[in-house]
Amino acid sequence: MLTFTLIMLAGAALAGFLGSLTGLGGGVVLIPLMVLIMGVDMHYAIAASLVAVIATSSGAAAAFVREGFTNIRLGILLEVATVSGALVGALLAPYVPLPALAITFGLVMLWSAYSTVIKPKPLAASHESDPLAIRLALPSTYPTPQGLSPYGVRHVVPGLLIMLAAGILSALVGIGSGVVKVLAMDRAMRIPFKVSTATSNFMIGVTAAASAGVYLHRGQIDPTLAAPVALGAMGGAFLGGKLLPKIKTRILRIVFAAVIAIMGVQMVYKGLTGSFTPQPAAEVAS
Amino acid sequence: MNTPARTPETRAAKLQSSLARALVLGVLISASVITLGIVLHLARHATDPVALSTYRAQPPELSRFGGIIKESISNPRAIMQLGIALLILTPIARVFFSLVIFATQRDRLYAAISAVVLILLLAGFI
Repeated sequence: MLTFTLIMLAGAALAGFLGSLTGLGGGVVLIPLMVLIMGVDMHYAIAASLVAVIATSSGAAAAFVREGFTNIRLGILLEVATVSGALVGALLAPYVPLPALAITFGLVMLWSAYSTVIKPKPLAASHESDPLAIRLALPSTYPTPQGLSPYGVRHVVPGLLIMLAAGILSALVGIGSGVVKVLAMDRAMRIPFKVSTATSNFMIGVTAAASAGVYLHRGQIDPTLAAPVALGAMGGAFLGGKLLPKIKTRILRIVFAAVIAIMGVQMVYKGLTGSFTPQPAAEVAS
Repeated sequence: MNTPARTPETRAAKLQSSLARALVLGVLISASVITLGIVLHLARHATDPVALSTYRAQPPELSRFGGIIKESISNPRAIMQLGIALLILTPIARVFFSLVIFATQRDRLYAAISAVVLILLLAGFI
């Protein structure tokens, strides 16, 4: 039990660190560690990884919000779309061909990994804003080595629509809503990358909390697993939050791309083997 | 930022620092409870084998808020679970705090938006 606790603490710290920097949550690193290496049943693993996402989000959000990277208005506004999407996704689930969806989503992630590194948009993001973004008071400032730098927000409506899709997808396929959130803010809304990852980080905890409550109620959260995972992820996320102001955006993009490439492979694998619902995966794990 | 009061910048900065304080407090409380639970649990069970390879749902005293609170007086597992339950509540509290802060700033639009998110979240629980 002692060794297990220490390994989970360390693994979750790494997951929280990567997850907080990239805005992706960090369940990606944890699920394989728990299921494939530690032999934990998938039911426990999924619930614990949701707890890790919340721990990462809350642990880092404290630092990010204070530093001024998180755009709270934007996060709350987009949250309307992701949470609605999550509810719609839960209703749609019985009618959607999940393997095809998982494979498509996995390929999209692999493409995104490639394009995030290969074609980063010009450093001077966008100083212009759409009239709607101005009316919603979304443009803001964020800290850079040269001091606070203002940025604009564009394409609010497409951004909201992509967030709706992100919510639906995460309800259907389980992981990956952070990817779509970051990409929508970075690509469509033309927001600085660090603001995108920090705001995504602020949002993913809210979405995950809705499902985690259900898992807790269902008895799927085992404290001997989830407690070290939560504590480790909080610690790692806190460190990630401290590092974000110092890290170079270019390096952050590469880390982000590496993590979503891993997720993309995982999604394609899940799609091909059909093992993305807890039930069949649990059989694989046991 | 030496901008006069009530500009969007100062308001945003205030919002950020109150939210950050609330977040830090929530995270620290939940982290301390979880740490206490882990230490007490390991003190008795450090050499026990790990039993997580077959799924069994937790009993009600470890899966219902009321049960967790009652059980945590005597059971380190419930103390850990209490910390986790508190952690799960932090993002929801975050939305609730945003609502309160926007409302006190008379930012009706964003108070309304926060309220919608909160309602949708609660709808997910039902």
